[in-house]
Amino acid sequence: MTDVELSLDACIKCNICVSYCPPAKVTDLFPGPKYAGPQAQRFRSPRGPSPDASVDYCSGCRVCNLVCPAGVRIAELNAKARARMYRDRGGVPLRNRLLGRSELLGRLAHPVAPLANYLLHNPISRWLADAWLGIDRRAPLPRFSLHTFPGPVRSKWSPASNPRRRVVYFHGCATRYYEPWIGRAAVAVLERNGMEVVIPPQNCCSLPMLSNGEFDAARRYYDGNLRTLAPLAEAGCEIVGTSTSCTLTLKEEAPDLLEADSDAGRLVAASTSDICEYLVRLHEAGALDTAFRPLELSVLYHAPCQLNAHRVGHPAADLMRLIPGLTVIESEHPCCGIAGTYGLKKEKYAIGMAVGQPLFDRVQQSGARLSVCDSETCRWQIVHGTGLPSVHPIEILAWSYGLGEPLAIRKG
Amino acid sequence: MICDILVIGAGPAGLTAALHAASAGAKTAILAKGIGTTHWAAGWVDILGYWPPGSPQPVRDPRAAVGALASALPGHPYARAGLRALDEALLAFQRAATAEGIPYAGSLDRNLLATTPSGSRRPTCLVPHAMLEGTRVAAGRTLIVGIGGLRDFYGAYIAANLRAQGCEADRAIVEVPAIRARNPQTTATLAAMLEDRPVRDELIRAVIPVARGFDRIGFPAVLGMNRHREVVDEVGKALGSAVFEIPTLPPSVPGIRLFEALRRRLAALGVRVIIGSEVVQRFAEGNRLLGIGSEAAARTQRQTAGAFILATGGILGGGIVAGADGAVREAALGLPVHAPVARGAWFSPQALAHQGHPIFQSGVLVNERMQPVGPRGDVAFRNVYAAGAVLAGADEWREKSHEGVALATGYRAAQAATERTRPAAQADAEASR
Ligand SMILES: Cc1cc2nc3c(=O)[nH]c(=O)nc-3n(C[C@H](O)[C@H](O)[C@H](O)COP(=O)(O)OP(=O)(O)OC[C@H]3O[C@@H](n4cnc5c(N)ncnc54)[C@H](O)[C@@H]3O)c2cc1C
Ligand code: SF4
Ligand code: SF4
Ligand code: SF4
Repeated sequence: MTDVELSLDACIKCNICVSYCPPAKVTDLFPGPKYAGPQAQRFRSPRGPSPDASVDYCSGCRVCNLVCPAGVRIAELNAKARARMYRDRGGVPLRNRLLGRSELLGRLAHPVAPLANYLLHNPISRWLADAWLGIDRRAPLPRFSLHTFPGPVRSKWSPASNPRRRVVYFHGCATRYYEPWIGRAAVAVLERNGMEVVIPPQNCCSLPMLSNGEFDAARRYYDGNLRTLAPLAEAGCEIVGTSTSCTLTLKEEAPDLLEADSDAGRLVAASTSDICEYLVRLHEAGALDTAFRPLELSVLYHAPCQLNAHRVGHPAADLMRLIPGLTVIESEHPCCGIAGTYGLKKEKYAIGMAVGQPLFDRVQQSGARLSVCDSETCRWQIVHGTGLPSVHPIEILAWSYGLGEPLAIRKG
Repeated sequence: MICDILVIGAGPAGLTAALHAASAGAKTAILAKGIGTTHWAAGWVDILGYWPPGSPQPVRDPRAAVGALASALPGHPYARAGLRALDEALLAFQRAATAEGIPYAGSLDRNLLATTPSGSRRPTCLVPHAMLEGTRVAAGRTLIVGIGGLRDFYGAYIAANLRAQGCEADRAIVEVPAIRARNPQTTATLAAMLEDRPVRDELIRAVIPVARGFDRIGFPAVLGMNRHREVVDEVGKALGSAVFEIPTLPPSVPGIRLFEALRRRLAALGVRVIIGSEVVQRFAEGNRLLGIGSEAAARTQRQTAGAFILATGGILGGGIVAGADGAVREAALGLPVHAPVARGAWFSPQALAHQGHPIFQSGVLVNERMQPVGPRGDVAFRNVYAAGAVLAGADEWREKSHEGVALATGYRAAQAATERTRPAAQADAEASR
């Protein structure tokens, strides 16, 4: 048994996790972390069938792991149980396979982005996707960008330059196909701080596949990334990402869930940071350029559950508080409900929206003109739930450095 | 995160310490492995329930009893923190709780006897307003109402025990179809359901026929979560009699309300509360703690601060851990621990022995500034303070002093820590002028 499985014995049955689990609070379809995790785990054996299908209603937000006083790895127990359950019950549904393939979708759609956007976003195809695939027709799907990130491959890296000033940027699928401006802001902020940014070829971090129960495919993607990232890490480069889920996957999710313990994996994990986490470290070392221009506005910052799972605090909020004039109100709410692809699914859309409602209310009541959040799917969900624009914290930093206003604001 | 004072632990002691540190103007943050005992405990504030040890009579006047205890046991956390810290901490606690919409009744001058889930009457000092009527069951007629489908709340048992103590009490169980249909898994779910007016009205309609002739109605503590006051007021008005709550098995809804209220208060003061980070490492230079390392994805997260307040709980909270080899350790910072030497000395021969079990008194020794000290009184780190159940010398569960010790020592630790950091902060402010 792995550490994850052994952790069930630490459960003291206090039910704290159940009282904090966002889906369990709003739906009876999910009995909650204690029951789906450590309790049900006692009935899961490598030989017998999976006992209970309700574990599919776990969103993987990891709120339970954080509040558990006993250190039970509930979310991981659930993710593994879900993969097992799909295997036992005739395989992963087509819909989950599609949602797990953000990269493949991007690759196919990007050359014909306007057509793809039209095909994906018109009411008829949304209705069809709803009826045939089970992707809720109201759910916030992103639009493909006309230009991908990084565009024509850029790499100024030559072996002679100093690895300490060199940062590898892991952009992830969302920046690549949907929001290239976030990648550009990230590069601009890193370069402003004297960094040389390397953007190696990369594929999907594999998280969508892990959370949709496709562990074999996830392993191929994860290994592909290790092949390009490990040599860079070996050369002393740090790896940063603007997507909190991608960086968490490289740090912990993929090696833990896939039980893939390797030197390359450990090295990449140890070298990977969320971009704001990295910039806070620069700041603590006195190396961050703090010549921020004042931004006279107030923003509501939502720390996504994916970031909380890094257990590094709220570095984005710390950085934004360095900007004169900027008021940062924190959401103090654990989850927006989308949880990657959870809230897109027909049977879970309403659950996701109910989970996010208190957050949407908070955004709207805060009086802030825009919300800020480190995770792309969360931003799309918050925009969907509030009608207000939402940006990545790196866009706020770039703006304050005078490196360009966030697109969401320019569009008004 | 840049802060003057880092509090480790988010139980009653850590929350109190952070509240006072932030109120004194220090930039404060909390780091905790998980949620603390608020969610298991009744939601009361115990100060001192039984004293001297083994006394069958509950303490009537906790102020006097704490004074007597402090002179008899100079190593007890109350003696270290001082009665004044307890007094001030209690007042500040009541102010904060009231401001956040869950006022507490009671005072240090007189203990209350609150009704427990087993129908006993147990001494405690402060209770949430919604539990006050449960301290008056000796007079008049009390009805205990159970709700069909809620597990582990035994109205008949409570009523029978109250009758055995000479109180006039009866019980009823009500069926509420909306609740039955949902089969709520926890008390927290039920509390949230009762914020929905239709569900609440169904409950009220079910209780009205059985409530006639009673002076007060006791419910399991599920009368609302965020809109608790509104739920209690409406149920009371509709029933035309006093309504009170009785604690339940975990999760404790009154405890969650208290935790969330204090967390809101801390957020308003700019205190970041990070739950899910276990402190596993320390970085020190001589007798100064520079920083700590907490368990994080793929690495240890380093966090520096001017001063640190350790509030990680005792044996049950995980702040003190006992190994199979008999060694007892302080889990977060590896501070010196006062504990029974041999494993065989952990427990008394009888489970319910009057003198308690020595293992539960193990913990960190401190001086009167709440600084952890070694066996010879030498300060371990001059910028580290400790508070709550991690301290040696109290037997909170037997004395019924859990929250009182947490509040008094949390308050005193924050006071000492801010005295320490204030000169530095002032110097910074002057330098930047
Ligand atoms: C946090 C927690 C963890 C636990 N973990 C475990 C565990 O791991 N394993 C285990 O075995 N047990 C566990 N238990 C205990 C277990 O839940 C209870 O022992 C079990 O539910 C008792 O079952 P029961 O049917 O006797 O009573 P309950 O489940 O409490 O049901 C009693 C029912 O009777 C109704 N009722 C009560 N009084 C009256 C009345 N006067 N008239 C009509 N109806 C009435 C109640 O409304 C309820 O519907 C746990 C309990 C808690 C709170
Ligand atoms: S991961 Fe989130 S949804 Fe899943 S059990 Fe834990 S708290 Fe609930
Ligand atoms: S919070 Fe942890 S210990 Fe408590 S019931 Fe959940 S898994 Fe068990
Ligand atoms: S969408 Fe965001 S906050 Fe919401 S589930 Fe994610 S990561 Fe969590």
